[in-house]
Amino acid sequence: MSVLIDIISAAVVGGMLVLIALVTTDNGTQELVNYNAAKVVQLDLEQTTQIIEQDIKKIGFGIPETEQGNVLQTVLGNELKFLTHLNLNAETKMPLPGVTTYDNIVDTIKYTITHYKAIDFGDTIVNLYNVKRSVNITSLKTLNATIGKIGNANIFTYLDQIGQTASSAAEVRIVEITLSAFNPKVLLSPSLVQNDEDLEANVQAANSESRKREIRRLLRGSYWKKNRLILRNLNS
Amino acid sequence: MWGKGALIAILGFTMTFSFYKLNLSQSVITTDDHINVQYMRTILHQNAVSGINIGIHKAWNEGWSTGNFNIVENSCTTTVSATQISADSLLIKSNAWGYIHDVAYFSENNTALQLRDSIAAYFSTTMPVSRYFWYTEDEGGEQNWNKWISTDTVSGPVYSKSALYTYNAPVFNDKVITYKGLSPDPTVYSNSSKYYGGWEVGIEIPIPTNMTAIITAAIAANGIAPLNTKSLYNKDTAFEFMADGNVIRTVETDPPDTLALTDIAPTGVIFSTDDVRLKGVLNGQLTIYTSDDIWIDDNLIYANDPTADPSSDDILGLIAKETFKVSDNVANNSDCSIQACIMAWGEKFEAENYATRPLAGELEITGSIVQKNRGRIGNFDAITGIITNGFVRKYRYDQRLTSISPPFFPSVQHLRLLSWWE
Repeated sequence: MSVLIDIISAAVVGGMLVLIALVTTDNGTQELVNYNAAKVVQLDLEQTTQIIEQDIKKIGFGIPETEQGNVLQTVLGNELKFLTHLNLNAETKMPLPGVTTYDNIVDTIKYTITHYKAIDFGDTIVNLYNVKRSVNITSLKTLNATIGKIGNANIFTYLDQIGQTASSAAEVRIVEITLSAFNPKVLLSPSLVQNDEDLEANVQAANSESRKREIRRLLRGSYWKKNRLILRNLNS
Repeated sequence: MWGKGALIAILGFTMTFSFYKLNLSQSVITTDDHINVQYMRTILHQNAVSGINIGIHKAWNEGWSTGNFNIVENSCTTTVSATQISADSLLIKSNAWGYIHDVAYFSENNTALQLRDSIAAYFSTTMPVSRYFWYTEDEGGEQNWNKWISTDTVSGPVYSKSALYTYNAPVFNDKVITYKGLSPDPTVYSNSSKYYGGWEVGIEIPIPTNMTAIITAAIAANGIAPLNTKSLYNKDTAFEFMADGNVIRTVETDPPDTLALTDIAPTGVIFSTDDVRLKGVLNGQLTIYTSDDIWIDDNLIYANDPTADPSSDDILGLIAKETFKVSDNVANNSDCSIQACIMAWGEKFEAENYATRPLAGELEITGSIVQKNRGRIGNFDAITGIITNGFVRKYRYDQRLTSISPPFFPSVQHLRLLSWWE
């Protein structure tokens, strides 16, 4: 009898311990995934910014001053197209596979922000956007790629020499880039996403309100990166 | 029994948390490496920027144009080099590199990760002064008559060694540079002037006074010909240009003669030590320099108008050591057009008797104006602002001057950024 009690007690205590261990591990893993996801989002954001920055620093490179009026071809919040030289010589060449020759032909880089998807949380919709980059090394290579997913559509702001909003393309001397990304925890926490329809209406409403507040809190805490770059090649 | 159970439980916990800890540690190391690499990249970029700034400073202050030097700072090495591309252009490069221990890279390559960053910048070191639409050493202090006002829309670069004064909202489409500032200050919100090409202050660019190249070219062209017959003159001379490429020349009271412009100025240059009087229609490329005054007696325009045809190859440089004057005569008192690069490096450009001559209509200039002191072309009622004597200005930049200049036209020393690559 005592052996049976020992076995049952051991099973109960052992089961509880295993359960505790599983729950702890599960929570730990979920947090790890959350933080890793956050890290990935931050890394993506940083890399996207770096690519855009490196390109914007090349605006107008090698373009004669007589043609500088045409350097900025499209200046919209969600689109930027400009002229530059990307394979002028060995010193100033964009490292792209397949481009091994140099020329004095003007090249173009274009950024377009397009809608990617809308995530509907019922009472809150989160929109995601693609950052599309098109590099055209005239007559040699065209590279089209989506370099990131972000949370805002208008990433470009155009400023004049003293940092005020430029009223025309001719006035632009600084480009401000603002990229934002949402906290992935919003997507990875089911409790924030699911509506519990079995609850009474008043409780459901209260839950919904608290859920909305929580989502907004997390969205407010989303990651963002803002940089201002001086266009050195314009009217130097 | 309890002892065994406890042992199994402890072992189970230990194993579970060991795996968890291992994953966490790996994640921490990866994050640390990433932060370190980003930090190193930032340091490298800052070093590269500092290096090129030091190089530019050295080129500007010491005329450094070839060679290289190293800067070792912040665990990075930066090599700054300068290469003379041509007589008036310079390439300055800054290459920074450093090493960092990256666990992932080290495990694959058994060596530290090398990171690099570089910046290259092309500069021009001289520039024909005709490239400026407007250049003055002295604007004349803050006066009512010399302010750029709302009716002024200026194309082409502007420079003044003194302060430049604006009132209301003049529009400058190209860069405005001064040594002693802009008034009012463009950063003040109430300033409504439009500087679409940007502005820069504190830049000192002296007016060029060395005319040796022009004089040498004129002497070479003149050869053994007597004075006042070809490219060298020491008497009051009038030139009336003809659209067919000829010129009617009158030396003092001698009877006029008609010659081909290319015969009297085979190098594109005429030099005189006395007054030069000009009018007509120029077909060709010419620079006239006199150590005295230049007088414009009537319209002086190009055979092929560059405002209508930007491919026009007609270009005229007029340089006076003293004063450049628009004559007070009947022909000039009902509008006057001048198409030329005007320079008065010792004095000014002005209308003769500007304060007493009759109303003369518009003075239309297509080209550029360089003068030591700002001269006047008219007078106006200080209360009504209406012109009472002389000309209303109608100046226009010849856009071709961004890429061409009259023969042997003087240049200014100016380290000017052409292109910047990061």
